Amino acid sequence: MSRDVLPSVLEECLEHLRNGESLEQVLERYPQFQAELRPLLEAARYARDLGLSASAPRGAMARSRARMLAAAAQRRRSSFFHFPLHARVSPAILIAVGLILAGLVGTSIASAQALPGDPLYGLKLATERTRLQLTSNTAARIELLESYDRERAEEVEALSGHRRSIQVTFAGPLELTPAGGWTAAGIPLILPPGFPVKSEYQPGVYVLVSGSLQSDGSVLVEEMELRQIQFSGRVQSIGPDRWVVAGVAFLINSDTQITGAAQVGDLVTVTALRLAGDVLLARSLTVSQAVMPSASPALQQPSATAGEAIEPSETPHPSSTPEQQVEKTRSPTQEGEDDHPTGTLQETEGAHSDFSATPSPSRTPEEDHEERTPTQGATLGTTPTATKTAEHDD
Amino acid sequence: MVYRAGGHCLGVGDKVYLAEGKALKPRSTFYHRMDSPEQTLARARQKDPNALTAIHDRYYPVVYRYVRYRMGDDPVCEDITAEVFLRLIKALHRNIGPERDLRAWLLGTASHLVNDHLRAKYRQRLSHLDGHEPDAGLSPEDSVERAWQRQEVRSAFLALTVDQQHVLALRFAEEYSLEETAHIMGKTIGAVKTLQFRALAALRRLLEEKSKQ
Repeated sequence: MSRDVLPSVLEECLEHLRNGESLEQVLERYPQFQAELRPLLEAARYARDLGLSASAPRGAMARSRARMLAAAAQRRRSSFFHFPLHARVSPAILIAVGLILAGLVGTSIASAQALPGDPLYGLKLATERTRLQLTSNTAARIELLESYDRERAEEVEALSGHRRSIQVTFAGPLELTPAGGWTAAGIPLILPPGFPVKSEYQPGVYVLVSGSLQSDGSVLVEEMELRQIQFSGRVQSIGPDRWVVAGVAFLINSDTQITGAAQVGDLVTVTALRLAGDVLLARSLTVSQAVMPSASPALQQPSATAGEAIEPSETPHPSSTPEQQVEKTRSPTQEGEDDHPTGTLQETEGAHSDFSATPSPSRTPEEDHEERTPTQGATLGTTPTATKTAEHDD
Repeated sequence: MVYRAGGHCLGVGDKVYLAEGKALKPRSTFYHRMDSPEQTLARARQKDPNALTAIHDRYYPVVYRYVRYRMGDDPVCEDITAEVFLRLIKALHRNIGPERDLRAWLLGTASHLVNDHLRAKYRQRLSHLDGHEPDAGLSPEDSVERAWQRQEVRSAFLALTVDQQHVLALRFAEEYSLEETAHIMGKTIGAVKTLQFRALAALRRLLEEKSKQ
């Protein structure tokens, strides 16, 4: 046998070692190559030892997963800009459109993966705000807002492990850990000494947190407030504990402040808390435009009928009913608001603000809270809302 | 205590704020059936979070083990492993990702990233190791002698060619068969045998040289 066979003999020896044979046993199989094989098999043992104790740390795996999913979500979102261009369009138009889109899409995609602290992060937030404004359907906007909330939390998880402290803002449901600490969206919160922990901070309620991300993945909280969502629209159905306004269903309880005798068809403004499980709980509901009493459908009428009768339509009926006349005489700013809201993430005032998610509303959560009861968290908890609906039944 | 409303306990999964008769698709879709790797990859190409999570969690330990074997206790191991999966997302998005053998693609990408990193750090690392400074990540259980020995082996390993490091990582960290290794490296079985032989011979020679110093 020549030395040319050594690579194959070595492989056979390695296989025997893997099967549990000792080095000496293996060498006895190839006495003519013992001198060459021994140092190689010893080197193989060292090479194998290098791979010991290399199990993946779970924290690193979770961070990697979060980063990957965040990147995928961003790319999924950026495909919003992809248009089917297989139609027969002249090359000149295609090139012109392509150049315009290249600028827009390129920058948008480049910013899609930006994390807090990155130069393009501001552009990413601006892109999100623009998309939020372009989404006319209220329920779809709330869903979009939730997806951005999840995105913010995933960004914070992706950033954990960085050595430098990074300023972050994110929203998520509060949870109490067995050790007595708080987390929001699963991210541990560090509350500085003397930080005001309000009674309304209860497990399950969404909060908006601003603070600095620490190297251990926790966030040193600087500001924290309840995550509130405000939207306006026509009442579509009224139940004992569940209402639908502008296609958005939400819960009410005895702590929900209802101003005015709301009926199906009324234009109302709702401010709601977001709770874990993608549930909205109304804190306040204000009637800003009532329908004509004679034309209003009976309370708790099936919402589909109410929706068809009340919701502004792009193709109005040729003969106006009294109810439609009421709509037509509304102020111009209300025209078509239900389907084409013009609200932004910034707080807008009054009944005409169709939708807003307000980190700092003009009427702050604290003010709202103080006007009611200091033990809101407890009272929010258990009481059904029969009294509220009884008023409307009259 | 948790928030309740209307007498109903609000739990995860409650979805009540949607428009009547307009059910939104669930936040997460659970796949009870067993998908083939190709099906999972196809769903991952659509950026299905469940498929991506399944792929990530299935292959993260594999990729991490490979990177850790090549890099030792370097803290950058986690970053490189995470970058492999970000590259996967980019590749799937651009439709240039793996068609079938995801594992080979991931390990190939990991190999390129490690090579790039080592290329940048090579000289610094060698001079660092020549001083016999222990790695920061050595576990306290390691005896001094064992730690020193591993350090010597690590130093010798890093002096191998990238192909030699690659083949040893696949054979000894991942414990892939000759056929699997040949497939991942895109070489013939004979070429892998020869490469492995030369890698171990070079490792042995480097270790002997170090012991004489």
